[in-house]
Amino acid sequence: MENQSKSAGVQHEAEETPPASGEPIIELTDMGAFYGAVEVLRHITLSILRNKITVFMGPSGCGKSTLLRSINRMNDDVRGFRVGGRITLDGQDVYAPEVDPILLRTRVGMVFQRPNPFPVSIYDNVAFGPRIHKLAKGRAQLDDIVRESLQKATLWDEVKDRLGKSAIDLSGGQQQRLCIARALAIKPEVILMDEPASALDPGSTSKVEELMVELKENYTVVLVTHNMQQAARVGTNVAFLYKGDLVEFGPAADVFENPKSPLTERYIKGML
Amino acid sequence: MSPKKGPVRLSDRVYKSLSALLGGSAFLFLFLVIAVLLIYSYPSFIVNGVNFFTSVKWDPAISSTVVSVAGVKAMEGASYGMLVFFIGTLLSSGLALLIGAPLSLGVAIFLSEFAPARVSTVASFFVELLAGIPSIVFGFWGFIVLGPYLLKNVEPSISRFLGFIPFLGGHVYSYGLPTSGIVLALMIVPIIASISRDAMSQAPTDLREAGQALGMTKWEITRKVVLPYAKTAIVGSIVLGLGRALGETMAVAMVSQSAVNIVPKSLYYPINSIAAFMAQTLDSAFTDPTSMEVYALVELAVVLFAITTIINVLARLLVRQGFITSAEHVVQV
Repeated sequence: MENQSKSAGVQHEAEETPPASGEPIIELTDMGAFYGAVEVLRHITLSILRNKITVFMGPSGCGKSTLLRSINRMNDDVRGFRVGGRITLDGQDVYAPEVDPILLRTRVGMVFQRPNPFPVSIYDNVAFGPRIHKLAKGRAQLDDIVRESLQKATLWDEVKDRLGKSAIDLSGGQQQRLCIARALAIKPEVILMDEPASALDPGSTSKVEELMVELKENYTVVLVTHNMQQAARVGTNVAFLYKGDLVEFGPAADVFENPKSPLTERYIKGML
Repeated sequence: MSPKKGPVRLSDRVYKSLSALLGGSAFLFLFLVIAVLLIYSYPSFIVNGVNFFTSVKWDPAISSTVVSVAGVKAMEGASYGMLVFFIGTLLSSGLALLIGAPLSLGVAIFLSEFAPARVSTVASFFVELLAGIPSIVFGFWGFIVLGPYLLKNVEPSISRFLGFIPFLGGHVYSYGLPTSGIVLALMIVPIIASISRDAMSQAPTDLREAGQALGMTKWEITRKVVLPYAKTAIVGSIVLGLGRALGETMAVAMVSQSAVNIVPKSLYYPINSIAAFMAQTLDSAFTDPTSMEVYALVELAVVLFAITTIINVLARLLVRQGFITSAEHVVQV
């Protein structure tokens, strides 16, 4: 809860009544994105619900990663990148001039396609964010944050005896769960996951998927994947994107069993 | 069946032996250099002994009489002490590092982290151009422009206002030390800056994005992600720059104001460095009928070689022993 008091740039709803699960937390309204003159996303309107897993799926180049990265403004430094329309977090336009992207990213964490732990110890990886944002008063509190984050990422039992060892020596799946723990340590509300399992073996993949399902108890998860089975297994709502357009958006069961658009149907059947 | 090796092509064998020969030549040259240094400095070691390392006085006593010391001929009353040049070398190079290293890192950070691609390309070109300027040009500039300016406008003010700091107070005699330091600093900036910039711009996008997604500012990403990633190369570049400064001859010879027999007591003294003094003195050293001054100069060269070797080894140890890596932590639960 500490990070909420300091996120002045991104306004909160009233703190007394905790926001209900299933309410929209992020809303995109006629959102579009450009790299220079190239329009990579157009007319995207959808709601991301609190404590649910929202999946963006689609073939390579459909704009799903750009969409994800627009939410926490990861493309701010990309030359020529622009966002049109509105993306709001708790009703606040995240591209409004008064919003500090640094504070936004403390509320909206991110996990990447390739596990990218820092070349330091397991402990230091998880403690990185809390140290930067001064979330812990003293060593004991920092230890607690690290332990809780690793527990939430279901990695604690595997690494509790070697927290001082280098994170680079972990397996790919462990590294990815470490990156999730690292993101959790700054206590975000939303976690963006950009194909988090695509570089992992099947065993590690199912662990990460189980973890996503557990995470939605306390966090809002937004997942980008090109893996339809994964989207069907974990997704609450699924958005199908194709060449920059939002073709279909709805509950996972509807999208997969009863697609409204012939494009979606062809994608699901592997014909796209 | 015992494993057999197939026949090796003749061209591969020739290639292999040729490259082994060329690779080995580096060791050979190093060995020859050390051998020549030791052979030619041996008489000086015998005659001058400890005095060489502790004395400030360098006097060939050219008009006195030839005597024999421990079987080696030398001029009576001659004294060969390295301290002036040893201290001058360390002071000028130290000053150069003090000014040059932060400046270079600033340049490198700007070029790799902040400058737009086009600016970075152009600016990097100019930084590397700086490396191509002959040292005598730097020397001339120091001699004609920088030195007199420092002496007239800067040194008196520093002495007056910062004189309470040790080494910065006292009478202003010469521009030798600060001018040497600044000129050397400018000469090492391109080395440190270009190597550091290359290393920093190779920091993986993965890790930068990890930092960005954790809500780190650009400066925090530079400090916590990029610099740790590039630290080995940065230390290496600083050592390389220091090596350049220690061995620089011409520029220092022109701006040091060629101190002999006097150790600097403040920033405002003339100095001399080992390399510069050797270049200045070698010619006259051959007029010594005993050649002892030549041997002593070679011993100075041994000292310079030792300094650079020790610095290189220390830097390697520093990097390998992990004094420059981030500390690891173990949590107690």
